[in-house]
Amino acid sequence: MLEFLVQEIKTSPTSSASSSIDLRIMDEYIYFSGIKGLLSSALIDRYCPNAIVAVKDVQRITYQHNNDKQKHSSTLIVCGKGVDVFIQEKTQVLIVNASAIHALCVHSFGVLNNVYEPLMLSIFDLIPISGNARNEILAIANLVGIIARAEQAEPLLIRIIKNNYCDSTFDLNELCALANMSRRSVQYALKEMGTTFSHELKSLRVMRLKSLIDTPGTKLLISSLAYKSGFKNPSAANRDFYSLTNQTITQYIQIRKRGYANKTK
Amino acid sequence: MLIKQNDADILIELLINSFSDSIAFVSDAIEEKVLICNSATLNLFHFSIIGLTLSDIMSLPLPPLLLAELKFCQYVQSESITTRKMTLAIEQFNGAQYVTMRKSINYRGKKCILTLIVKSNAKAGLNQMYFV
Repeated sequence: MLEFLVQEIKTSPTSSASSSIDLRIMDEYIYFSGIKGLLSSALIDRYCPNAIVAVKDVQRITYQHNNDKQKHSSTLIVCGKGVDVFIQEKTQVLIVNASAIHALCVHSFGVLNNVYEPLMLSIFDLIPISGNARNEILAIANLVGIIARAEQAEPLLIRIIKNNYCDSTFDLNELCALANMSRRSVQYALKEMGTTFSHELKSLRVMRLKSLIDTPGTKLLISSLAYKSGFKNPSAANRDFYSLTNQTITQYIQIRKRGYANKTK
Repeated sequence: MLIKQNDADILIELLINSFSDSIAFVSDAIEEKVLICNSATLNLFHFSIIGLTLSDIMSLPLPPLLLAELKFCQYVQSESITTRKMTLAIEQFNGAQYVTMRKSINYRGKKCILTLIVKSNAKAGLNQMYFV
């Protein structure tokens, strides 16, 4: 499939291929240089859906996003869907097949914010002088995968809270340590998102408690459900539950039971 | 039967030292410093990594390729720490391929990550990561 992509780029009316084409095709990636023309996103989408492309040149790169006006970037860009790139003979192109690294890549659009630019530039420079360059290409592909994932992942702080709220010892200090941020920065970032640490923690725990109560066949004590939801004790669970839902846990269970009984009648 | 924390610590140390050819170490999940490692780890790095973090190792003058490989390693480690899920990954170092496993554990009363690294001869593709 990927061979056809290169064939089409080489034979497209605007393209010209030099005598020294460097082409390396694997299941997970395609790397080439020595072709001049338009690297069309439609073409990539046809042969390699959801691919992520890293393009490196010796001079500034010209690209177009969703047929907007042409833009010039630095000598390296990493892009997802909808970006057409004008490539020169010296341009190095790495197309990473997202389906081969599904654990890393997600659907990405436009030009991605590349925090690994200097490192990727150095490794791109190693490819022409390296033996088979497989490790270099894999290393760049990995960095591309990390960038693509970071671009679309939910904010780190929320992710950490979601992954840890069931642990009753999880607190703001631990969040700061896991996010590698100061207490003040964490509080500021959460405020920017329109929430606070305690509110986020409380609502996630209450949501979990509700879902445990709603699970058919649940016969556990309220205290067990509270501990399972990350509350330190049942009274803290009751207090937080009431402050968010305006009803006690017992009232909630009774209403659910009544509703279930009415349904089964 | 529940095992006392001290007994669990001894078992973890026993497990780590039982790996003769493969790399095994425990690092603090918050400070990310290595708390204990086996002899295979010393053979790979040629120096003791106890008390060091991955960032400390990456701050040494390293070739860009190795640095990029360590960046991926750091990424898998951070995912393991923030998600608290067990991760399995295929990673490359110096042209060799390794299968790595990271698991969140409690050791010496701290939240830690147990890392096991085994050299693999299988020709798998890209470095991949899975949550288990």
